Amino acid sequence: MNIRRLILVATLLLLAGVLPAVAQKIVLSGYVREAGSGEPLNGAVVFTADMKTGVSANSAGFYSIEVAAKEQVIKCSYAGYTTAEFTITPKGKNLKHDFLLEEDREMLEAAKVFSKSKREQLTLPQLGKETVTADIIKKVPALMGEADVIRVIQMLPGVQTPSEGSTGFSVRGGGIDQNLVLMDGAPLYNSGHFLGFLSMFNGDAVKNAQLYKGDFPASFGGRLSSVLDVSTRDGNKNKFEGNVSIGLITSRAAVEGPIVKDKLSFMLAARRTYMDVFFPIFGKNIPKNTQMYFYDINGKLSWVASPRDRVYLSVFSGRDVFGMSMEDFDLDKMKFAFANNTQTLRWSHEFSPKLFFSATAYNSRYKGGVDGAMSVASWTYTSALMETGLKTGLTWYINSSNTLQAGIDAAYHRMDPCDVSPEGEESIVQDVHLQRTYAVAPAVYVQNEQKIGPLTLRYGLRAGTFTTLGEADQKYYDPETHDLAETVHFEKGEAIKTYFGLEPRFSASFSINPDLSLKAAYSRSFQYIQQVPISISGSPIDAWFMSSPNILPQISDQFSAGLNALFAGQALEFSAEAFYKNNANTMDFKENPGLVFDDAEREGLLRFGKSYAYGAEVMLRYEFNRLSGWLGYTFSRAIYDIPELNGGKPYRSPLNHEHSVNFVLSYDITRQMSLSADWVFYSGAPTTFPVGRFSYGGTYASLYSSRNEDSMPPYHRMDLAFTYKDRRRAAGRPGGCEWNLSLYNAYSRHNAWSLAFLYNRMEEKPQALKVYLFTIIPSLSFNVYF
Amino acid sequence: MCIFKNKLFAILLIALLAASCTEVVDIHTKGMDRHYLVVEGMLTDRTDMRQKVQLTGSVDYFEPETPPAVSGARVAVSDGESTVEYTETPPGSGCYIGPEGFCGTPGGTYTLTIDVEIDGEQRHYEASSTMEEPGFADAEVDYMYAGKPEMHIDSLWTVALWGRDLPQTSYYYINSRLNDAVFPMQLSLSIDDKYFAGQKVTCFPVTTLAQTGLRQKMYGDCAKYLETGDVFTLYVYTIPKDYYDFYMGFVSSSVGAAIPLIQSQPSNCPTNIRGDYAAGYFVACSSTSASVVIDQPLRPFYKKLLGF
Repeated sequence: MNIRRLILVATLLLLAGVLPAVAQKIVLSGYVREAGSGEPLNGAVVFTADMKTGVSANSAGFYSIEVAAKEQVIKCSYAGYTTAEFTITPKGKNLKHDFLLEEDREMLEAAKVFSKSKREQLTLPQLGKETVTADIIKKVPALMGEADVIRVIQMLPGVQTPSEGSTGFSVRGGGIDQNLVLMDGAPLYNSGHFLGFLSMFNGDAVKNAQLYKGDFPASFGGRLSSVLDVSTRDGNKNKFEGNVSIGLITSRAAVEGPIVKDKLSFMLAARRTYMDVFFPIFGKNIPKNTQMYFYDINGKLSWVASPRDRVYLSVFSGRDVFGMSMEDFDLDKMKFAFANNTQTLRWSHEFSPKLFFSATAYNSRYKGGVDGAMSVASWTYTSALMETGLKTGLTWYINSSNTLQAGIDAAYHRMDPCDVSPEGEESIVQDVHLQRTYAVAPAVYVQNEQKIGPLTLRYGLRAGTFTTLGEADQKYYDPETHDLAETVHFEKGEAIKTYFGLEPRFSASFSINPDLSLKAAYSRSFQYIQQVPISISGSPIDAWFMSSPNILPQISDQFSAGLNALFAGQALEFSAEAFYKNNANTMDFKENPGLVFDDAEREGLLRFGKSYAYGAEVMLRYEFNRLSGWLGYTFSRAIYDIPELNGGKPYRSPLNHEHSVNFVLSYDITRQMSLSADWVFYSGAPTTFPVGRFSYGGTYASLYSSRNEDSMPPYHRMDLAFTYKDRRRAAGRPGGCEWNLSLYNAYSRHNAWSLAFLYNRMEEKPQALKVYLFTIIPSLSFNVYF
Repeated sequence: MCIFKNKLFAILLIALLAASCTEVVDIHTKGMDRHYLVVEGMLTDRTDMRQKVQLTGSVDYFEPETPPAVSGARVAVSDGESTVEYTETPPGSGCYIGPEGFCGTPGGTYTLTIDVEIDGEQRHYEASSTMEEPGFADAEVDYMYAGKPEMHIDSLWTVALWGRDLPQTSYYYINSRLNDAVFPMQLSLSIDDKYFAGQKVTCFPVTTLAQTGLRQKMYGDCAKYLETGDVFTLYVYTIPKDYYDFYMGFVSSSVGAAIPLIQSQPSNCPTNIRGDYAAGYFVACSSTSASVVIDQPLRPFYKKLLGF
């Protein structure tokens, strides 16, 4: 890819767009908010009545649109809300107007939930973007009744679940670590509770989530496969409201309201599981002193500091604990604990009706640990990741044809791979402290969205560097033998290695008619912090690596193309996309890595190569009065080609299912009762079965042929949910209550979580043992709103 | 830490299995095109034992038979100057024994040569290994009481190793004997000496011995109970890193429990046997040993440790 040529073309296009801009126009700007709560409506569309000009509100709800200086009606719409109108008069000066959208009481819930894609969205030069709102999250049946944004994400084409129950996800054949998961702008390095069975996102706190499957705007960087940008609720600026939910294993509470009406609001949401409270009922079947719980708390303050300034403070804290003692195994204590904490401070400022600025400072910390005590060995093991950063972005609404965005990002990373300390004076465990690693990653970006008749272009460039810093004893491994070649000491703050990457992004949309558009995109991404799974499915103890002298950053080039079409009076929306990804510097552990937590030579265990993935996704969304949902199909193939593995032969990614089908529907029986269901099918994930066995020292071991040439059994599952609302709730009046009954895995299929090949010494024969996690899981929750 | 982490993984695995469900399923595996030769050869510097190479074959994974002994092979070991022939003893057993008094010397490089007929075809295999100087000195072994009255176990001891890890980087393989026999449920353990780091090794826990109760509970009839007067001997072999890697790979593929949270990508364990369709290892290793006599269940030294 000739970067210089791209920059030249982009500059010419930008000039071509700016120069024809002439007078006789005015700028209308302001915010789009929900009338009841004052919550900004990110993604609301503001457009002229003739639909020739339109813009989307940004994450703060801000919009700016340049229109002809004549008397005309400007409309604003958002799914599930009535369309608002504002008439402008030709006074020849810029206007400000905030659109307050009323919830559409006439529309049934089902239609409201899935009504996302309209004509206005068709023209956006954005492929592979999906928006999930709180309404959708609460509608889709969930594991253990916990509304979960990632469960919904996993139902979208191109997104796959690596293993039963996991909240990790693979996008277009990519690794779990290749997803940038953001909570109000702060990255989450582990987004799962309960070893990944539930996500960190509390359905009561989430406002919406945007998933970008490869065609990232230039403002995002650092990951190859996707960006999941989750925003939490700002809090109602007009009145207090909240809800309490009591479930079988989890209870939640959320409250929000104004501190200063129309100026300062808060949101507080918390939940905790209490599964361990019931353990005594199971008696001796549960190990002694078993603890199993998680909790998380979301808090947010939202302040309208002035008509032009907004300030947000968002905090999140989540913690998982899983502990027990097992006397039969000489285990006095074993406690796993994982904690995520994020803090985000965001300021947005409107310099002028055409110039919008935002700055986000964030801190994210993930810490995991295992405390154990066995006989005279007691220890504490911890590992931690921390990222602190600042993101700034400037949006210039140049004219009705051009919107320019530019920004500067900077992040500071710190990684504590492993600290093992003895607990107590009698413990024979030795101290192990693996070296802490540091890095800084500044980046700049610029991007323009340009409309040329039926063609809408978005082109941009992101330039970033990543520098690992001392103090460190940097190990250098021989690239051929992988043996330790030398160790060099670097002083505190001294640069060890710097990588530089240019990431061009380009996408285009061509409207053939108002109901049909063609789209294409190309993007290049760099990833400097990566996780190489120790395990097949990914787990909280998997190792993260920073790019270093031994580890090159991963680079991905993705090409995609597709079409969007509306049918049946916009009740049906069809989309199809094909993609091809080519990744460089893909890494995997060597065969038989023999990994342990505290392996100081981990970088020497890595092997490098390339990978590629290709596939196609089709989706049909349907939206009728009572019935709505979607049907999706994905074909995807992901191949690793690492010369030192699998005898030099390429092999399939263990995370990728070649065929997957997702079906989601929501049906309103009456205004008070609704039924929703989903069904998912995956072809079996690639795996490696043994072909033979041999004996060594009286113990059997397996012989394998080629890596991942076999497949797990196919996976399929249906979930059902039934919701009953009282009349007050159904009518949309404040207060009320609702019951939710859900069945996860409704027909109780024993989907394989794993296959274990074991020699049964009692029967003296080898066996394949299927391990499955769930049969049918019913759950019931009662929600009270006030 | 290595031992504890292995135990930690085992406990995690048990906990996960307890929380999940299992069922035996029929899985079709395609089987092997050709059978493997599996070599289990160790050449030590010990003069009190005969050097041995065990040859077996492989079977398709779900074949119920045990892997057959590979008989009738020509097995020889050379130090570069002279070659000794091993004799299959007893005939048909696949166990090839070196001549009386033959052993290796630290610093020497030894090459194993095997000529054998498998699947009707003549095959030739070779493997080389260099015997490293012992990396561990002044070995002592002792045991401590590790039982708990509430566990109703008559006696439970943790066996620990004392000694000195020499400065060079070494890897160790430990196994043990009880009296004159290989200890039942023997300890076979490979250790990276980063856990010793060239230091004095004090009380490195190696295994757990039990007289009754727990041992019987865990291992059933195959358990042999310790008795007063038994001699427990621990052998610490200094092994090449390649053999350590082989051993860890072997453990990984022998455990075979595909628990997604903790299992890495399955793959064949490494081998140093050169030739088509070969598995196993030939290793030359120097040794250090230490013994302890099981005299009483609770020894005075550990009374203090336990606060008696």
